[in-house]
Amino acid sequence: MALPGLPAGRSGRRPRGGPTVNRWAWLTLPAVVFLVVLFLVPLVLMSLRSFTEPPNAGLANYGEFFASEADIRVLGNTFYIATISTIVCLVIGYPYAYLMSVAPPRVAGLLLIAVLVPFWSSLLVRTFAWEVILRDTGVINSLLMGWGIISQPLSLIRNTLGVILGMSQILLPFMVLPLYAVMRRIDPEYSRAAANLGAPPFAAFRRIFLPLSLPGVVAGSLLVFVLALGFYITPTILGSPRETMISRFIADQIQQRLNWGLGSAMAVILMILTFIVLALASRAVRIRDVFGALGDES
Amino acid sequence: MRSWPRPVTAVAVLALVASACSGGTASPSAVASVPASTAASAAPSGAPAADVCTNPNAKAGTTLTFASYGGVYQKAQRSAWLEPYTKLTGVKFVESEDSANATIKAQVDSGQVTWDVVDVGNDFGLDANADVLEPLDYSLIHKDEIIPGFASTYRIADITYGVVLAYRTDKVNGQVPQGWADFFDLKKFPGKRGMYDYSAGGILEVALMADGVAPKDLYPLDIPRALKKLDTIKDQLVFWPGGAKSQELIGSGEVTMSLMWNGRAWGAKNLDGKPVEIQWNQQLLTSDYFVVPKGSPNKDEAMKFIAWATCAQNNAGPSNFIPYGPTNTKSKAAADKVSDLAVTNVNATTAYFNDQWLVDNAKALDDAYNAWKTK
Amino acid sequence: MTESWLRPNRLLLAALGALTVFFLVVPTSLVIPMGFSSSQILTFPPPGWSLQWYQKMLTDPQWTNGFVNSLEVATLTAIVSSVLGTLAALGLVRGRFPGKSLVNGLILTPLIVPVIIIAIGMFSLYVRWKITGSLIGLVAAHTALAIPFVVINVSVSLRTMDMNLEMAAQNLGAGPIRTFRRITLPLALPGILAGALFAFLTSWDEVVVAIFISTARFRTLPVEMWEQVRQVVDPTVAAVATVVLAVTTTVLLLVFVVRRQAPAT
Repeated sequence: MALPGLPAGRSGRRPRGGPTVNRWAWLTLPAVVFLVVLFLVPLVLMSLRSFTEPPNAGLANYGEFFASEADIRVLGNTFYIATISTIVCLVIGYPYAYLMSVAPPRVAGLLLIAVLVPFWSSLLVRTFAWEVILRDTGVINSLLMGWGIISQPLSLIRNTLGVILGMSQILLPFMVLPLYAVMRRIDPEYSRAAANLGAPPFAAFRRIFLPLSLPGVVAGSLLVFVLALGFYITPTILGSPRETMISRFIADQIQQRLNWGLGSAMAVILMILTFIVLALASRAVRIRDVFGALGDES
Repeated sequence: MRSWPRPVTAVAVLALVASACSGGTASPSAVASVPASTAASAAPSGAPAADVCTNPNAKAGTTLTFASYGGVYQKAQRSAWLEPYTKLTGVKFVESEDSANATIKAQVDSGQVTWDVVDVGNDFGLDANADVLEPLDYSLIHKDEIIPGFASTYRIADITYGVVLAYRTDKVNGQVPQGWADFFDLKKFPGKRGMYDYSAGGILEVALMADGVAPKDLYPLDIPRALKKLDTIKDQLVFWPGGAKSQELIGSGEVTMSLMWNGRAWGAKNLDGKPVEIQWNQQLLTSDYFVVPKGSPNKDEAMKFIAWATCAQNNAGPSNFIPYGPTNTKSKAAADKVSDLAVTNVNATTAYFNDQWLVDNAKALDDAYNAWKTK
Repeated sequence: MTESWLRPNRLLLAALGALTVFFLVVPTSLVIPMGFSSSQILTFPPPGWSLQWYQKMLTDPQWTNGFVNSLEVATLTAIVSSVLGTLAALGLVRGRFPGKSLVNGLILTPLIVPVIIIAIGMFSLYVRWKITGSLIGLVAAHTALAIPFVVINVSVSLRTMDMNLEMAAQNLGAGPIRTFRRITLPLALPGILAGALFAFLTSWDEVVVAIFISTARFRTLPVEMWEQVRQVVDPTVAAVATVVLAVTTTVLLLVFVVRRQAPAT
């Protein structure tokens, strides 16, 4: 199978000196119009509201955000949780993706299914399953207390730990899939050659396989980080108000305080940060390949 | 190869047809027929038309959207009011379980009001909210029968209840918490505390009472003092967004004590069979209110329903299902619930919200609470 | 692809793998027994067994409406996004035009922008257009989110297709439309179907945008679940979650079947 992602057109026949715009181009028009009108325009208009509400606000909302200690704390919190979740996903996901790439096909298929079913299962369902598992009277604590291992329930929920556990489980597929996509294309001949030349197994791994898998690492980490920044449901259910992440904050500003000015300003800030992270990482991988891995799980 | 679009098109057409039939408001069918003579024989002017209580003259086929607070409370409202009203008049109800003042404001602001009758808390519906509410139709409502002070231009109380301290009898080492000071005493009563996640829901009031403030001295709220007191138990607080969650928290034992609405605590004990008791000392006695958002598409029908629900013979209906008291002085709560009503358990320590202060200071209250919460 | 030089560590790796599978699969699957619980609140393990929550789910109009709404929205989303996405994929794979990478980027943007931002952006505009709380509004919103998945899937199919078949057909005299209809389209079908199924799933499980675009009169199942988890908290929500999971798993299996049938892999 070819490399995942949108293609640059290696489809065989190369038109020689044809028109700069061929007829196929027009087929993209319906989707483009649809997305512009129903997706882009709403985003742009909402961003404008950050400058126009209250009237003539200009940069006042942004000023208000950066001047507020509570708001900055939420932003910092968001980055912190996103970073930790990314690291956790990497630590768990790398060995798993490696296993998938070396396992016999049937096992690899099963491992793939194990990753995909939760990937496509409802976020809401998974989150409140975690709530039932992690709470003081939940599965884990009941088991541990029932076996006499602990006498007081462990605090696994309404804190950063609970949020990260829930988020990691939900984000793990986004780490595993790009990693796997890269790993399975690493030619095992390289590692074997290194072994034949006398390299001990771990050195071969460290000097051959690891560097070759790095694009997958970057792609997966980047994907997980960007998605984690925007998480809303999971931190709300599994965290306490201290773990409020910026999406929840934005939602509250809009839904509860009806403060469109501040809310959309925060949304713009989040968008800019997201794009910065992506821009930085686009130097290492083609973004298209990263997101391409999502739809192509074969 | 056979083209696949055909079955897909069929599905699409079916889906579109199905959506056209199911979505949107039902078209009003024939008005419920009322003989002209009955209407004419209504009580003389000065007293509201007596027939709204027996025959609201509602338009059958209308669909009203009713928003309240979910759980056993909304279930009680459904059984006592919504379903009988539907049977009586043919008016149907669509329900929302997440009533919130902000949602009313947002709907009115956006020009798309979808809620018709909303059950709100005591911190809403005063004249300061006039810009988002419809004035109630007192030509229909029997205002003279309502407890004085509980019916005003934009709101009318539908039930009375108490914000109380509920505790797990099996987690308090045989002692009984006597009041909010014990709620804040983690040494004497270790364990987590459930708390309503709402700045005007009583969180500051109970903190002040725990700090020694007498009920009559609660307002204006000394917010910094209350927040300082709350900081002493902040790590042990478990915030609940709605009544059902509070019932679950104390029912499952996740919290040892919780600030709760008395009907929900009663539900945990009597419906869920959990070892939960209520401490009536220092309860905050209050009411919920019916309001109609400004621009509600079914304003007139909403008014009829509200008038009907607050009639003498209907108002106490919910008390058959939950110990919440009527606000119509001529109504009698269900006999088996009387001892569980908040109004029956009033004593010298009972406190009251100052609705006017809460409405006037809503933003400051909210800002301070949110800043503290996320710290 | 066995790495014989790594054998000693294989056991460790396998153990880690098993643990990870446990981590991935078990938490979600707990909702299944919770839906059969006799307890009045969401709890695990269930104290006893009962079908009352499934009964409630099937008889409560709020749940049944939510289910029907979700089904309608997801189906229409799948259809609309498949059409738009397939066309776009064709244009991107076969087309040459200035600004192609811009279009490429635009198509991917719904995947990148945090969903809460999409939600409030759409909400603020759709409210003005009065399409919130309606089938159209939700389908429009979800289609925008689903198009990238269709485009990605169809592009893959198109790229791996053997162009010689098309050339052969044209050499035998078939015009472009005929070639497309009888060669290209059938060969791209697995990608289109897979994309459509993913589009269905995207809409079926989508909750954040749906929360903002739904109103009391028109809610999807996830929105219903979100409200109930916070305001009602009885195990009906677990029964519903089980049904949601069952549909998702079925659709995913369909995707696998479709992909296996892919002729030009």
